[in-house]
Amino acid sequence: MGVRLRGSFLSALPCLMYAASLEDAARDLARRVNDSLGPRETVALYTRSLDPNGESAVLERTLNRSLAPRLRPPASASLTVTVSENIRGPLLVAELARGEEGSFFLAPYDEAAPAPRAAQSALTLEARLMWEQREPILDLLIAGQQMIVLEPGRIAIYARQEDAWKLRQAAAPPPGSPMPRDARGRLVLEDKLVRAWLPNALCTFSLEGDIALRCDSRTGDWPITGGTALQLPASLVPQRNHFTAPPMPPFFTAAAWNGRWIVASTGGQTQMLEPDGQVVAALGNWGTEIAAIHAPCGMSRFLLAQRQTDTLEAIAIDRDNRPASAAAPIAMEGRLAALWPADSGSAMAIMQSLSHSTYAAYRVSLSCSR
Amino acid sequence: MRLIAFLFLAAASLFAQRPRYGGTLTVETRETVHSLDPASMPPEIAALIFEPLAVFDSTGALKPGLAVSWWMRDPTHRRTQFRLDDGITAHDGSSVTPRIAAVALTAPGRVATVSGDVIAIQSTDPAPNLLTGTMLVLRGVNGSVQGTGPFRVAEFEPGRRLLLAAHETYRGGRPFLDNVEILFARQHADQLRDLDSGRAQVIDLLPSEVRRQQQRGRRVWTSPPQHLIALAWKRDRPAARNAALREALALAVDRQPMLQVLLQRQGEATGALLPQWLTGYAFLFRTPRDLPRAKYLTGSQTVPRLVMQADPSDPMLRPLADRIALNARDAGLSVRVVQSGPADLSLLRVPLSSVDPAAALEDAARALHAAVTLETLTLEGVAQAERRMLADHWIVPLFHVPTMLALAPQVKDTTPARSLRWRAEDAWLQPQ
Repeated sequence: MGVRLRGSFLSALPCLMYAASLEDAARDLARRVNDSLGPRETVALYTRSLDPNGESAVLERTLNRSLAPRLRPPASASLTVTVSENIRGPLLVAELARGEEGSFFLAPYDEAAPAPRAAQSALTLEARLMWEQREPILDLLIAGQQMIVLEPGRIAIYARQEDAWKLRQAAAPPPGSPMPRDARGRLVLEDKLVRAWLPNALCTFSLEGDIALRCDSRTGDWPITGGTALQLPASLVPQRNHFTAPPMPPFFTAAAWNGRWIVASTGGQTQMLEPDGQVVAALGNWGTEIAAIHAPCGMSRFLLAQRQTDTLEAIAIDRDNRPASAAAPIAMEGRLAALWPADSGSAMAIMQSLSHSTYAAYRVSLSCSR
Repeated sequence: MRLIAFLFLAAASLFAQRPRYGGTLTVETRETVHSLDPASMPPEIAALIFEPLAVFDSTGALKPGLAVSWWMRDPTHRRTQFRLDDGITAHDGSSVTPRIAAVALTAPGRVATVSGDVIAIQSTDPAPNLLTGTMLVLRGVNGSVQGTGPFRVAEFEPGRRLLLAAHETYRGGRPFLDNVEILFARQHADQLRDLDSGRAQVIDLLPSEVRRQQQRGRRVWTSPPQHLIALAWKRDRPAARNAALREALALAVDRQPMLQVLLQRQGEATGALLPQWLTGYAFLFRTPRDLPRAKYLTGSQTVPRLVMQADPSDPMLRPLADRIALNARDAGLSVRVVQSGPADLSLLRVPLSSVDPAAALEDAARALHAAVTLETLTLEGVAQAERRMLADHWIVPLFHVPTMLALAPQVKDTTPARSLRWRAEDAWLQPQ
């Protein structure tokens, strides 16, 4: 027994790209059902959803409107439209049954994902979605009306146009050694000059005029902690995802803290260290991503970390070096792929959604409610 | 809105940690590999060593693999042209140029030529799946085999053991693990014992073992329900040519008790060849048990004793086969279950290795020795073709079941949800 194949394979694939809304898909479905019915045929319409929590109000309304002339009793056929889902996303499945005979129609559609909600407390941790895309994001930076997205193989600059970000220009650093798995990247803005650290290059460009990357394979020290007086000369270990800064132990991220360092070491512990590497306190396992930000009220300093799965916390450390949550954690579903200080009052959290195969950048900050 | 309720990842502590480099992961499996030809390996092992020209991502979109751009202007699908990615290195560190790739891709029925940086493959037969179905295998003059994938072959004992080492210059990033050791033909009891003792960190899991492993704090990785369990009649057998018998057996099978008890609700009952999560329309192929009609179909004739074969190397199938034989008896059919020898029908487990519905349907047709005609490759075209394949009950889909693995607590990974295979190249060992 063999396989016979006709038609165009790859050209059929764009048919699976979903750009229509639920309403558009329902209207399209109604049109095709209508075209398949005879002049005097009428249908009894049923709608359902395979998701018990799903709503089909929009679907019902659109179908009732689009098929109104066909919905007069007595019905000569039944039309059941089901809200389903496949690997590409949501899908409407229409079964048209006339006695023993049946036919079906399929109409995919698109649906946006909700943003995370911030918890409510006197000190409130907030995360605002800045950008989402399928390609990995290493860091993201907003500079006025421009947004720079650092990807493993590309630097993309977007310009704000009518409440949307439009790609202005993209440039690829010169190919060098292979990008390591779990690549690190960092963007820093100095006046109108952007510096982009990648595992195999340090690239610089101006935001004015056409973007012209100047890249050097010598990356030097990475700006781990943002604009603090205390700097940590850290270099990325080649072909790896962690830093070294002797006399500190190897680490993934670090934050300056009252003349000391909070370090997420590769050994699995988060530690408070003196600048000479002496351990002041072992703080437990905070994961691998930490960053320090200020709250606008009183300019208190806090640490951001993902101590529990799917949540981001703001943590204060008291005089006895004991950590405690300073605000209600916020839900951030997915893997925290990177956490960098953006400015003194915020950090950029890059989340990887394994279920949706997307990366999202959130600006995380603290607000003070009265 | 996300309707899919399957839990594809069970890692609670994964997301707070960056990956660690180093270590050896030991994997045990009941599968066996006797040759380094990727076509004869389970796809999840072949993917560690070799790479295809293009891949489907977890949403079914075609993405670059070894090829970064391609075009197929030939409506007969016999000619494919593409450009290779930069920086492809073989496991011995040598660069893979278009010329080297063209030599490697030339095979019986297929000729690859190079013009500038464009490789063109001319196939004797239509090859619409060439980009995703062709892996680059580099053969040395001494018969050695190497690939370009994230791991290279360090040691190979056919049928027994495969030791893979990290490909240091892999252009997708060196894997976190230094080594992956795969032990073949391991019985389930031995696999469980080795996981308990720490000798293995990843093992196959049967549905009946899932709950126990979870209760013991082990991670269980579950793929989407990607394996089809189905009955397939042998078309050259006289009993199989009786359409009434085929329909009677299809109507006699009671799927729900088997799913609840034998499969421990790991998977889903189905009347479709392709799973619901892949197509979104599988629910259209209903599976009503109609015992009165089944008895009516068998009652009006002399019913021969049927022989059903269930693969003895697949421990999931024999209990199901026995249960189906009992269901068949309720309908007046006598079914004897055998492990080998002539049979009227087979109970099969067919892996679906593609997230493209058309390619998956072709895979299923091939494995079930059935004909499929896809007039178009739209989703509706695939659905129509599937309906035609199932029309006369030559094939009776029963269940879609996932691949299930038990992982030791220190094993972490970033395998995307809906991945059809657990990705060792994205795994690491977390210090305890």
